[in-house]
Amino acid sequence: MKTEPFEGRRAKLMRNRRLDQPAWVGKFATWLLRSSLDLAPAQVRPWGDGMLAELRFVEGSWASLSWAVGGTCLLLKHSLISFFAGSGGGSAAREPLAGFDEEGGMKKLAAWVAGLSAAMSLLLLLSPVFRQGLRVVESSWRTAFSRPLMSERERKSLAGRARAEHDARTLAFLALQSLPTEESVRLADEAVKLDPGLTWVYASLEVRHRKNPESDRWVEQLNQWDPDNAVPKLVVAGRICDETFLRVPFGQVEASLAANRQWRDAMAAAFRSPRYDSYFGKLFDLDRDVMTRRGLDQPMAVMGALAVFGFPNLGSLQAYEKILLAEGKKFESAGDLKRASESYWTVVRFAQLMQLHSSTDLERLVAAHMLAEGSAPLKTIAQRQGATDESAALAYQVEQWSTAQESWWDDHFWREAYLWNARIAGDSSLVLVLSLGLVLVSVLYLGIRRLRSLPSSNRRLRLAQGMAVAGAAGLLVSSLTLFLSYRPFAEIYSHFLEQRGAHGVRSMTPFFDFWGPSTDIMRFVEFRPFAVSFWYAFIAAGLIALTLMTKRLVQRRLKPKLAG
Amino acid sequence: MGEPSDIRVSPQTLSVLEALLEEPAAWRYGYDLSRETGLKSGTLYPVLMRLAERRLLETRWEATEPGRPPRHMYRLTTRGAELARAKLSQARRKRALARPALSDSSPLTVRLSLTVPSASRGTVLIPHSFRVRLKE
Repeated sequence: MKTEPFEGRRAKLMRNRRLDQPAWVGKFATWLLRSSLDLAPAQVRPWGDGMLAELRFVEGSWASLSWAVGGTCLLLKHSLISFFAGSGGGSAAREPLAGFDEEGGMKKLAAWVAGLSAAMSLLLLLSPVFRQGLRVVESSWRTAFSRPLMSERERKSLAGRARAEHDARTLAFLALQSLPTEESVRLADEAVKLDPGLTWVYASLEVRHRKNPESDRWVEQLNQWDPDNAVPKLVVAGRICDETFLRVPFGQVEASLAANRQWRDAMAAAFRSPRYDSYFGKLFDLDRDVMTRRGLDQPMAVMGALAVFGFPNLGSLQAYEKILLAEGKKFESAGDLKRASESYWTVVRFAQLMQLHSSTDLERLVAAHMLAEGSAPLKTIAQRQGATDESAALAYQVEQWSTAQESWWDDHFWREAYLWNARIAGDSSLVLVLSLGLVLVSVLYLGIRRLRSLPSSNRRLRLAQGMAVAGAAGLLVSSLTLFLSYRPFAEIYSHFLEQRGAHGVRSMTPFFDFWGPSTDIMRFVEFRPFAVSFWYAFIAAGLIALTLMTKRLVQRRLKPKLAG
Repeated sequence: MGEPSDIRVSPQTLSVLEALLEEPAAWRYGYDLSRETGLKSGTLYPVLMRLAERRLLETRWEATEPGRPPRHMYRLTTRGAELARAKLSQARRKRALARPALSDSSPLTVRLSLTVPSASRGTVLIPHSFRVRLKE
């Protein structure tokens, strides 16, 4: 094997070393140190100039960068001390140098920090995720004050275009937004008239505008349009169930419902129906279609529709399931296993139908529970009759309940995480607005002062500069926080729009839950746990105290030097 | 500001003083001092600034050819050199007092573990210990 001579290897090593040290690193180091020199107070500038001059003699690009970073940190430290303490920042303070302009240095630093932070926040506006996050939080504030997600002007303009284009789906989409009842009804009627395939929209309207005189007409139309579906019957039963809940004491609801012939007929018809379609799939398709076609970037509309689209009525389903199971048990005690099995099978059949065609996790959970409740007594009967295969199949259905629960609790854990994320996004948006206000006020003050060449006290000027810097820093931090905390929701929404499933859309509803669809301030307080508010206040007070203490400490430490 | 002799010096300041004291009359560059003391710019310059503030260090700009930035140079003032000598001898005395066990005649046991390649088991550890006498 041919060996490379030692000198040759050394030359190669040196060449590689030079290649490892790109020229731009050295140039960046020079730029960094020179830029920080511009911010440095006059007293430390000679030292900065000294470090900059030495940079030419530092061997290696990375070593130059290390030298420049050290120098930059030192100069920035003195800039900050100078800014907070309002002094020359130390070492050479006793010997003011010619041409020293403290106010100029401070102004430059304030402008630099404020400008850079504001520019970085503005850059975030280029990100669609950030813009969407801002829109969602703004919409959540609207709903907190019972305002529709879309302004009246936007709504009217979109409805006008939809009417002109005979676009029934956009009209239906608008009808399902949080609108005044009359407007919703009018838009829904127009949509159904144009496309009877959208009659399912009445199911949602019935749930949301229950006391409307049009309710009976909607249910009738819905039953005519979709006679095989269990859901229109469940809508009727759900209405009776809700009224009963309001009318009788909690413990007597089931007995009262059992005695209500109309409710029992509706539930029996629902449980006999060959189809189950809660219209969630249709709702998601409608949202996707209209949002994509009309270029609406409004995830809150999807969340809102999901939050108020309250199928199935759990109370009603649970009450009927209990009645059927109790009846089955009664027949079983009387030795009438045939009729007992019929009662149990009614529950199991409906649960299977619901499980197969449900579009949401909540429906699947309810179905799994009903399936297990109905299958357990059937399994015992099958065991008694020696039907081993049937018993094993029923046992499997019973076990499905624990799997469904585990999956629900897993999701619940993530929903908690999403809830916190939504809170952080909401709060950071609030800080963003406040910071923007601070920046605007201070910039306005400084601008007027400069334009009119007004004399102003040093203290007031410093306050304005401090406000500008604090506001800009707040703007940057809150923008970044909003961007990061909203990002998972943007992913879920994009997943939904790309028709890759509606799983996770419910995770976005905390934006509704958190702010609460009410103008009542007490309701808002109720939504926000006291502990969270307390710790937020604690952290804010701590930060303020820390800032004041630091400022005082710096001033006190520098005082003797300044006096000297 | 107290008397220079009252000043508490950090180990970093001590190493800078030591470097400057090698040739008290010579003007030194920042980068040379950094290489000699092993201190980074962010540590070295605050030390130099503090010394200059207490008038223990004098500075001047070196004239260079046009277009080249002048280099900043440093050397100890007379007071600075006195203080440096005092502080260095004080530090040496302290160091000697703090390590009586490591004097010339103190034996010290050093434990070593030698790792040698083994054909059958990859590497094996061979514990080994011996006694040495420290020499300054």
